[in-house]
Amino acid sequence: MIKRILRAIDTLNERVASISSWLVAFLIVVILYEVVSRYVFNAPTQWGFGSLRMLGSAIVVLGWAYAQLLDSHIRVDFIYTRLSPRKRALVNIIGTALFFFPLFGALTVEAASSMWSALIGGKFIYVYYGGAPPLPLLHKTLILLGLSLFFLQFGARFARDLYLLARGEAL
Amino acid sequence: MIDISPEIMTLVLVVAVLIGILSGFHIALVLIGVATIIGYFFVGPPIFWLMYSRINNMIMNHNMLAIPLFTFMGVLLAHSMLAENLYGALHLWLGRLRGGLALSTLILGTIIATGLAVVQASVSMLTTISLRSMVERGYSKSLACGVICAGGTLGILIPPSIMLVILGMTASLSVGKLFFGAFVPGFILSGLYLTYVVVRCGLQPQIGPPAPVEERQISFGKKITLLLGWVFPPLVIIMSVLGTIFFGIATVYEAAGVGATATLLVTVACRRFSLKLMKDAMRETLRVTGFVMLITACANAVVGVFMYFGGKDVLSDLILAMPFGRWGAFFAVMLTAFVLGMFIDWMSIILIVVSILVPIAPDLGFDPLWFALMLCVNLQMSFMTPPLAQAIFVCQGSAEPDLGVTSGDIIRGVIPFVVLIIVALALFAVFPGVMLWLPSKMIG
Repeated sequence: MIKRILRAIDTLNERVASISSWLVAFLIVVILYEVVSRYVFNAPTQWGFGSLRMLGSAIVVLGWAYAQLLDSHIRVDFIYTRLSPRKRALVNIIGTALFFFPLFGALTVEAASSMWSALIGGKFIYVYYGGAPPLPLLHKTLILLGLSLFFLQFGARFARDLYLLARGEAL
Repeated sequence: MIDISPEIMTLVLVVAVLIGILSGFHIALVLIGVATIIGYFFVGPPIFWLMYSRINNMIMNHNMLAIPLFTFMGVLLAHSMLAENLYGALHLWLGRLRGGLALSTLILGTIIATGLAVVQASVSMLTTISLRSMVERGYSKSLACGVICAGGTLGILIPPSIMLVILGMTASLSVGKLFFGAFVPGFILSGLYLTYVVVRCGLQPQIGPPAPVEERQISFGKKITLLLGWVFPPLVIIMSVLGTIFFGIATVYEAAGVGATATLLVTVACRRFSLKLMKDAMRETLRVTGFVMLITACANAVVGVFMYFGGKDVLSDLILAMPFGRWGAFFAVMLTAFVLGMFIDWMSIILIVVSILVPIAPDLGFDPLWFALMLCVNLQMSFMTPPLAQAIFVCQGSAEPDLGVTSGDIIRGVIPFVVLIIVALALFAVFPGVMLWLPSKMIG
């Protein structure tokens, strides 16, 4: 049962990553549009700069989750690789409980409340960004999605490490 | 809230971070976790909101956009066979020289590894493309591995470089100026490496024999076509990206966006484009952007806490107290970076050490741009100095087992290049103009 849930989390992250990686292509298209309208037609868009930054930050946060799925976040591993699997699991459990869960839990809640207020406040447009298309809501949704997946992926890793520590075998 | 002297706080922060990092847990999370816990004692629960806004500042930074774009460009160049063909074309031209393949490898690293943020990517690319051909033609394994490690590492420094984008964001320096500050030193290093290979193979022909005659009997016209066809497209893309930044035509991320598009067009034109390549490149971009920006955002948070309780003054007092004046201080900083580079990943060193030290540079009477670039050149060595020498690990890991490359071969191979970097550092310390002249000519 637990095994199936954990596998479902991996699959979910994998699927989302293959969709969200297209944001990279979208980013390039938006930049090109912006560059052409500024340098060729001499008519820069007002929303371009803000939208690009929103798009960029969505790529970053979704990238966090994907990198965690592949265990790509940087470690200094010259001691870590010499530890037994159980000790490594212990390092991850302590680190995750101490450094990850409190802060990123709070960040995810913050992102959720920010998205919720954008939704009920009808904040579809950032005045600050010169009347961008209804990106703020989409942006906040993507950030929340990325943070939730990141949190979920760490949770899955945490469960696996706990199992490894307790039973001495991989789940 | 609480009254502890900044000296003690600095000590607590440094020790906690060191223990956390050495345990092998993700550096980014150790940094931000320690910062949050210490910050909590100062400001209480609002610390979470402060961290949220500091992370937000970093990931909404417009320079950040250059990271996915350059990564995408680099991955496309590396995976689209363009690199293999470029190597082949260089080989035809340089093959008749002693050590010609080693020279080709270095040039390939200089030109094409530029968009790759991670030394893993550039070194493994060079290993896959060039190691076998060198070993099979009788090159000494240590020379072959040395040029791969040095060439792959150089790509990280030569602009367009993600290392410099990160440095610019965290140390509040102009990314454009950093690019052009690193431009001349990067090519000087490349030149030193090339000269070394030529001289060494001239003295010991058996370690880098010229390619057999039959391999390079191709008409001159054909050679020119190959050179124009394979070497020029990537070179033109990179030069035009840099040119638009230099002349103030476009911002860094706009130039990066255009560069990514141009690379895409070239892969299509060279019939190397496929949907699979596109998808792989986008996923790799997502992954690299993810881990690079997690550590960047988190390090920015820890630096914020450090500055908040006055750690900068503690550090600058410590550095100013070094014997032998400002050059004594400079030497101490460089030595510290070198030693840290043996154990810690370069990205963490840049993000923490460099971004804390660069603001101190004016107190010492040094130009912050020069100071930052000196540390970047210094960190080139961190990839090649054991025990944590990523270039060596990756080279050994990507080498096919039947070539029989040992880590001893690789370590012997990189030593001369580490010495050359030290020589270059001395050169740039005596002639700072090498770094500062080009940025001063920038427009806009």
